[in-house]
Amino acid sequence: MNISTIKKNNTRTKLAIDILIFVGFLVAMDPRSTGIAVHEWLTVASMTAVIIHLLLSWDWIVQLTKHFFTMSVLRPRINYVLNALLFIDVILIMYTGIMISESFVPFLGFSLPRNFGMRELHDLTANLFVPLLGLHTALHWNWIVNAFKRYVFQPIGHLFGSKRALQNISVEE
Amino acid sequence: MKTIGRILIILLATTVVVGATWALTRNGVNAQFAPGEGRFRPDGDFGGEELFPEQPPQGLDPGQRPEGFREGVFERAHRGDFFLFGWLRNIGIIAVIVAVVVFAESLWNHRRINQAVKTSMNGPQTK
Repeated sequence: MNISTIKKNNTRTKLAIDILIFVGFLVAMDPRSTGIAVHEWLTVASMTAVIIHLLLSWDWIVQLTKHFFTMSVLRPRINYVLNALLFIDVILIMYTGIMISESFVPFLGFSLPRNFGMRELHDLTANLFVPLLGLHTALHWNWIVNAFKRYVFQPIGHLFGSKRALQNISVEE
Repeated sequence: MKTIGRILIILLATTVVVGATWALTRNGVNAQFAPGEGRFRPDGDFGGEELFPEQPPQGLDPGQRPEGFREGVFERAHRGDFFLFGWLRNIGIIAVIVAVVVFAESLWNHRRINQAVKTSMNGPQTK
């Protein structure tokens, strides 16, 4: 397998994982419609997806960490700081969520006291997550558009194109 | 092996964030986020103000919130009504942020390109 194939597969996996995380968090962010059990279990499952997302972006993280103070371009720096904030926010959401858990933690056989402060912090970090996710999406918008074009729209276009070609052949016959 | 090492680094970073949060809430630097009940408090006398009272404040029943306490995710979730508004609101916020940032960025890039073209058309500055 050559480097370009690995890169292509990596991008495809990354896109699939990112869509999964985005939809997962979007659903989990509204416990009113899902209920508390789905809210908690989906967020815990999304955490695995977040770890895979970080692993797939590992080279980028390492490169930027190494050259953070020496690079002249501002955009990657802003991106890096934003990603760090997003990471901290996700961890805080998870931590405070576990501390006030009503489904996940009791399932594991533990019981925690009801906690006003943690609940407030959970609400605060969850509310902060939405604009941070918006900024994260915005700063990667070009990548998202290109990946969608290449791995979603083009294959669909090819599918319809080949169907149309098949139809044309059968009409000609 | 490499992947396991990376996962360990991520978990270490997670532990640092959780530890810092725990320490901040524990020491009452951010008193409003301090846990409301005392099960996390280790045994022993720490002196000073009680940050983790065993009893709910002002004679409230356990689990009852003080007056004016904002409704949180728990209460909203336990209302149990189907609500599409939350999803739409979140998508709306994200869409607006993306639109604003992408538009501002393209405007900025456009200006920079125009400036570069103008500079190259004027040629090198001569006295």
